[in-house]
Amino acid sequence: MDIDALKQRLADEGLHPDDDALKDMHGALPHIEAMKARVNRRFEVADEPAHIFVAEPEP
Amino acid sequence: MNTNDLCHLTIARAGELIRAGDLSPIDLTEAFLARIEELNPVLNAYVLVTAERAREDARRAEKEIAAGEYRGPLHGIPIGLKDIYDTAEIPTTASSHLYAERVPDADAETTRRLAEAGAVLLGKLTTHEFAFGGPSWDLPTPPASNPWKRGYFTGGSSSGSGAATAAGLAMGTMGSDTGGSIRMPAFFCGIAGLKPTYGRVSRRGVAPLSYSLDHCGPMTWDATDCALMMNVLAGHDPQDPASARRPSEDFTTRLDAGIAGKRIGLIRQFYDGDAKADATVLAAMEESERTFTELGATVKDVALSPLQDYHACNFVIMLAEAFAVHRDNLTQSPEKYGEVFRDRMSMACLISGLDYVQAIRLRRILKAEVDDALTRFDFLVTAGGFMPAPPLEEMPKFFIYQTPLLSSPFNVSGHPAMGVCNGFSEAGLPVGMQIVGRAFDEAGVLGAAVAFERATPFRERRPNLG
Repeated sequence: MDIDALKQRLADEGLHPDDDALKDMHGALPHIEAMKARVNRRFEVADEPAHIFVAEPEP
Repeated sequence: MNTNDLCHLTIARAGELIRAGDLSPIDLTEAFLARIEELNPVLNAYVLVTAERAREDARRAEKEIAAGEYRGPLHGIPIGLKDIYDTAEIPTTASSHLYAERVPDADAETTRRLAEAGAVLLGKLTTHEFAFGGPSWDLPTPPASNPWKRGYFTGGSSSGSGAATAAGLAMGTMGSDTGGSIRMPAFFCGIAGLKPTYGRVSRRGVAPLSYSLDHCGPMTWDATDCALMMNVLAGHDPQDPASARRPSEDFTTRLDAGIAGKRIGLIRQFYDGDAKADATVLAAMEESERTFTELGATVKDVALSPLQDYHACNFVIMLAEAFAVHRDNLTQSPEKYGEVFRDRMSMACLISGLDYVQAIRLRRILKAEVDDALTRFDFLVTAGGFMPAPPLEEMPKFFIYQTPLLSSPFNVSGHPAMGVCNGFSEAGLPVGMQIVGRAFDEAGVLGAAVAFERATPFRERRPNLG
């Protein structure tokens, strides 16, 4: 993602960093992308999330 | 005893003296208030000192104890709270301009429990903004400074809790831990800090960062004092949806049990493989391995998934959940956040729904892996950090994204993990390790930590604050 695409992505969320902040964030982008890549792996269909909805009424 | 001696008592020792009538909670509280007045201007551990409240608490404690109404080991003990713990009618700011005027109506459940136990509230402690953005110089108060070396990082986000506990500005403090925010300050400040099992201690009334990763816990000079605080803090809270439905227990029952015959799994790969710790940490871990063996435990290496997998899982979940908490304020009043928080948290918008769900699917797998290791071992041990505290000025804005945190695996897995001091650098800065136990086996973890502390000289050394 180039810096203009990042700026647009942030703007889409209502975030408008100044140029220095945007540059810093773009510099950190590879670390975020690396984390996303690690969690997006091949899961089995039966690999359920850690957080499961419970229908029982709360006490 | 002079002020210095009083402020360096442990909770356990001070509690004995108070119970016996040999130490006045009023004198003890005055000693702490005097020391805070002297040292807080250089350490920035407190954002607010509640002197009148402390004196009132101390007077009440003294009167009750004299009347034979002793409440337990925390009665008359001076403590501090990270400034994300709600305190009724006392400002709770999360070290943020956004909350500068915020005064809660009610105590956090943990605040209430500590007050009920008779603890004396000295004040509210510096935190990274909303337990996430720091160190940062554009917040209402400056970052806390490391008592072992002025101008050095305390670790975060429970930065004031670490500094105050190490400097003798509180006997016990409360921290919170979403990726290591109790254990990192314990590591950098040379104290003991326990991240309990997820659900063990109520989070109600504590500013959330990440609902499924936030843990509340004690930070003290040694593990025994953590156990005493846990006896007050733990227990089911029906108003915290994540609170475990299990009764509390006496966390001091195994403090003298030792660790002879215990099996310890050393997760060496985290600090000497997946990433590389510096020579001080490597030497301290080697020496700790020897100490455990001399105490009669067996130590064997255990392999887990790469540290980077745990870190990624931790941060993808944390960012997604934290963005849900902060998005409205971040878009409507960005100027009210500090730069570090604002820029770090803005990047959370890049985490998609798919990323979040995949991360919590991975979380189940990683948790099962740790559970499995703990069927073969009684405890897991690994380093607490990669190096001693660096200078505050050298902390990069995005360091928490750049380098995997050694503490993050046990936020993902939810297991109890304790930070314990296990050495010092040549420059006199402490380092530490983590002792991890089975879910809800805090008593075992605390017992192992006490055995280690008693076998090593590190609890005898205090920062020189001359």
